[in-house]
Amino acid sequence: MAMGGGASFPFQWPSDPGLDAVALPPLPTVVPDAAAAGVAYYAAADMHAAMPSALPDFAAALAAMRREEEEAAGIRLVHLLMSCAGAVEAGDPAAASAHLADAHAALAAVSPSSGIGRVAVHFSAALSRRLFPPTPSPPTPATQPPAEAAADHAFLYHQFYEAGPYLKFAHFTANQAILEAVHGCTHVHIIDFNLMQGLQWPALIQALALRPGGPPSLRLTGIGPPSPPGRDDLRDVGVRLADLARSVRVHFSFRGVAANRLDEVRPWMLQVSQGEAVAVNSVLQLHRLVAGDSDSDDPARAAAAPIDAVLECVASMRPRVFAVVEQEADHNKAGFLDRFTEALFYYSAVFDSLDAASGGGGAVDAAAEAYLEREICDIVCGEGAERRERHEPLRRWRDRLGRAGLAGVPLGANALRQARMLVGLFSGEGHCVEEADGCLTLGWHGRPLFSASAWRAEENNHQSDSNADASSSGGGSEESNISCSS
Amino acid sequence: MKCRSDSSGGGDDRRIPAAAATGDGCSGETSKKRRTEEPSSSSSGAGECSSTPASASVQAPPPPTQREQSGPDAREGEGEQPPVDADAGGEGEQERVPDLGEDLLFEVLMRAEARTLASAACVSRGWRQLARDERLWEAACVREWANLGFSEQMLRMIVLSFGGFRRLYVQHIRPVQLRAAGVPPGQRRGQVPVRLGRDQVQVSLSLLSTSFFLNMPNAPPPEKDKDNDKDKNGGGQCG
Repeated sequence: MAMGGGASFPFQWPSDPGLDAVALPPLPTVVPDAAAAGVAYYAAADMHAAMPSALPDFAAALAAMRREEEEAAGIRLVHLLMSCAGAVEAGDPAAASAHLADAHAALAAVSPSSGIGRVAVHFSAALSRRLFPPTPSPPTPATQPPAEAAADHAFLYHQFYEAGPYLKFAHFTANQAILEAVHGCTHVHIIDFNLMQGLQWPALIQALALRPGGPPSLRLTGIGPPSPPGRDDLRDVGVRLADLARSVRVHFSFRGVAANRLDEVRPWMLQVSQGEAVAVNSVLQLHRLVAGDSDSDDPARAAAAPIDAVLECVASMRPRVFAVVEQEADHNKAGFLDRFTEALFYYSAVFDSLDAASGGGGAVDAAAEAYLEREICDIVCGEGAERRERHEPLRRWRDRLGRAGLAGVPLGANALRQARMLVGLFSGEGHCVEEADGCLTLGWHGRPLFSASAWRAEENNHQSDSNADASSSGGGSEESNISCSS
Repeated sequence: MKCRSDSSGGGDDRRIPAAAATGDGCSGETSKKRRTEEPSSSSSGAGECSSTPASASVQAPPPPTQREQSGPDAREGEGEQPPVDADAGGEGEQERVPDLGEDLLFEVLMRAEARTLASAACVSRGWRQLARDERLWEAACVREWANLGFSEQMLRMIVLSFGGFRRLYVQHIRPVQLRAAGVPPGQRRGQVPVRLGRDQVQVSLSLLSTSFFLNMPNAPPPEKDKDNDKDKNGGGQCG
């Protein structure tokens, strides 16, 4: 900007009266685009007076228009995806691919950073995969070499853990339930249905260390997939947990049980001893065992399912507590369209919530998204034995666990308060923790996403835990693995 | 020195100007002490030290109870540098913060709140070293908790094994406090901290232990290189 002589700064605020007429270049009287929105700019001299009031209107009008367009595009996209799914269910691949093509086109109009945009990308990709299975098939989680698959999964799981409050909520609530149930017991045996990296347990070890009267003697049996030769992932986690327990002087021992499926695990493998308080922990595992080859809700058919075998196994151990965390959704419906629709809305909510937890603005961690994408793909593409993500709502779990002889243990006000606090720390507004019938659910804007509950065997006769225990190592000892046939 | 010990003992102030070790040593000291208080007092509006040290060194110092309590316990700014005008107070002294003796300083800081400790650590290297002592942070943390029924020794052992009270406070208690005071997550500056109840402390401790576990050597998962914590203050016994 040309300045009158003597100015030392390259820029002067326009309100400086000495410069207005001299330094500012002449401005157009009317900005053409603004005229379309019904706003006119005035001549240069009045420019800065008029601008502050004119600009916000223009910008706001534009933004509102854009939002409406996006919403309309989003709705159209959802309709297209559902029409495609309907066509798939009706067995009409031609119509399905036509709808899918339209959906792809509609996707372009929707911003990828909006909730519906992100989730629609994954669902249309999944539909595409279902309609046109890629040949030769690229490595899916099922066909990848197991080492790679496990490492990938571990990484994505960890990112998902960090990105949102869900797994933290799960671990924390389950730990609370376990803590309360083993109150006063001197020997505690925890069986974790899916050890992963053992992120749940440091907090429990710490809480047990701090309890009045001192910590119990703790055993952890971690179940997980077999490791590739030369590695022992379960044992590695066990060693780290043992180190941690040793540093806070909690008597701890670990055993790893390698199994590809939970129904391969037999009670004898878990080596439950007389007199110990057993706590079983299952975070997002039970739904994979539901209804093998049939999607029917017929109880007779369901009785043959692996889930019942596992629940029987659990009940036979007479646990003090069986902590269960599951997705709160109905993705095990027989009809494809129903399932698709449910999943679309469920994962929309999850993605929205993940977005809010990451601070908003579309900066969701890609790995966390990938973790969810796998689930989506499984729900949409998988059929029969291939489909593992068979989420069921809490009421259905209640029935199943009831049939297996397990009764619900209410989670209590403590757990609710602390869960609320925890969730509040890690996420923006919109997440809520609610209590219903003794179970806690973590939801997004009223839509429940995950549920946590606790159970115990009915008619559980508690024997007083004896102090006599043979093991004498002080600190953390750690035992060898048992492998099941994989 | 003498005036310092008097004020830390909560004694009366009348002796302070008179008991100066050196001519203007005492007023120099009080003004130096007040220098670290400057940011705090002005932000807390504790009602003292709003005048410049120059005038303070001329007038009789305000009552010791007010000054001495507002000293260690005043809410601080974020440890900004002492205001430039402290030196313009007119005494012409350029001496650095006097050596009060570590024991004495330690005693004073033992009664300080956590934010005061944080600010004290910004004064000088010597103060920083002292202010990082875990006992100070333990005192600051525990004081803010309602009576929780934890065994002191167990708590100390656990927290020290998992990274120390300072880490506990900075990374896990302060966010909980801010949240409890209604400050949205992610915002660091906040209201006066609230007293923590049992729930909040348990959540903080859980987070501490989980975070410690994640940062242990050979952290899972194998691919991800976690940023190693730079600060292993009072760190755990592993690795």
